[in-house]
Amino acid sequence: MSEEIKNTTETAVEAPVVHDAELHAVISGAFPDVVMVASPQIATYAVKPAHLHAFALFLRDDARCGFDFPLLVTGVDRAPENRMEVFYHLLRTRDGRKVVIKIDLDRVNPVLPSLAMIYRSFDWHEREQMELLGITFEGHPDPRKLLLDDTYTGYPLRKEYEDEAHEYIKRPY
Amino acid sequence: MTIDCCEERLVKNLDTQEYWVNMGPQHPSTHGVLRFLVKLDGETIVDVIPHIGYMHRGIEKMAENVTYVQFNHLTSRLDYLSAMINNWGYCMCVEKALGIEVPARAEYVRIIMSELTRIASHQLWWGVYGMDLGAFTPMMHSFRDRETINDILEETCGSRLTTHYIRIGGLSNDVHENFVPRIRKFIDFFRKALVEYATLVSGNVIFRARAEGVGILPPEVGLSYGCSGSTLRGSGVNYDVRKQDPYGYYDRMNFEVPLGTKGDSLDRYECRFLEMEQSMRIIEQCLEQMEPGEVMAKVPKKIKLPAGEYFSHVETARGDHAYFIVSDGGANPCRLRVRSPGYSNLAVLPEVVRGWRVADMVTISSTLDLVAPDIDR
Repeated sequence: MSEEIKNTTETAVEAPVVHDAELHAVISGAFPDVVMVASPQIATYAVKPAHLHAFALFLRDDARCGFDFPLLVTGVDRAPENRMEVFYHLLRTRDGRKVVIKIDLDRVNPVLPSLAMIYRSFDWHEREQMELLGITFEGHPDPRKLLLDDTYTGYPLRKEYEDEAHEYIKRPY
Repeated sequence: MTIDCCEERLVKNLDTQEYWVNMGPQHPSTHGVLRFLVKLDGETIVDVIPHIGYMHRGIEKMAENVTYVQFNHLTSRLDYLSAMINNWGYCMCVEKALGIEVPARAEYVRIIMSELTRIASHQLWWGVYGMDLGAFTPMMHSFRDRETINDILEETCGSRLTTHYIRIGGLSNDVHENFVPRIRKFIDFFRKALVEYATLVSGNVIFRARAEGVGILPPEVGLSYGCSGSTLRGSGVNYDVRKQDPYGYYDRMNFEVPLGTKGDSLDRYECRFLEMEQSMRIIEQCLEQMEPGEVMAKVPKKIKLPAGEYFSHVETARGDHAYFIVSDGGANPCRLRVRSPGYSNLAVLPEVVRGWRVADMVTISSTLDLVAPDIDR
């Protein structure tokens, strides 16, 4: 809760850091509770998991937004702060403008709705984050492992992960 | 009357059975270790399931354990046919975060190197595409010409494939004195060679019969799957990072982006083929504008990015290649995500290939220009 209040005050103070004023007006008009987060390069919006689906649909289908090109999905393990983040990067091909959706998650049980049916590209991207970081994307059409073997256990991109194979390598330095 | 009955019974019993065929991981047309499970009904493809991960080296995990400078050489190992462009994408991400301004000469050499790499990659694709369709000669021509580019790269940076020439802040060293004359000689030669290429393959009746109208990718499907590069432009979507989100000095260059109309294999082929000529145009402009000078900016000894998220993307020979760095202020990245173009281009394959014959599978997957290490990372 304190995190959210901090975010809102940040946007109020750092009003000039709006990367795309036109887009910001459209988004804040349609989704008043979506918060813009300070980010050095791209317009980033923090969304609650419950609103993610509607927000992504709006970004894709509204003529003023028209973000038709899915770039990437990534999860970030913020182990020291005991939370996880998921970033969705979108772009529109008509002028190359970008927008980022950011979702804050609980690290113990990270769950958020899947966007795989809105942007088909995110199907594989989300599968990859599922197996590497242990994030659950609810409603994913095909939640199998993608890159790793089916028998693989553990989430390699989590900070506490240690590869057993490295135990055997004794480095002299 | 009896004959009709017989026929009816025969037709009833002629139901075909669907079956699975395994293609790869070691198949000549997959160019690397890539496996498809193909569901067939007779010779018609009902479904394809791509299995990737055979070349997964965990480069994103490696990034979290090395410094920003140490990670640079790993980017050459992603898409080894676009090594220079990958180097550039990563270095640009760090440079943007630190606010480093790269010297003008380095910017020009970066463009020249990128475009040379693009031509070399397309040459390889062109030769191998011929081979996938059963013609061996194109391969011999393209590898002969590609050798010249590899020699130029070797003379300048000592390496032919995994280059690691573009560094954070500029280049590892200035170009060799033979650099400019050799490139000019190559362009003169390759302009003529392209005409030869066109007569050999592009106008060939058998080739056109196999590629024209085969494997149509509708533009909205391509966009939704995040396809990029010539795979998407073949469907008529005008999206090229060099035009839409120009980096380096690309906004000073005068070049065109070839677009297809139908989105079939032939359109994807034509787009890639015409791109080689455009790359040569860009190189010529760079050679004219380039002036002697520094090739390395002042870069701090120990690179630490301020906490935050940084993004950059470049147009490789395969499409939109992006880096996303999340920094917590330390000496290593907190998370580094690589978006590889081949990953999304492969994901669309089942949509394109459904309903076509087994032989068309190779035609289609080859025009997507897949590179397995780029897909698996």
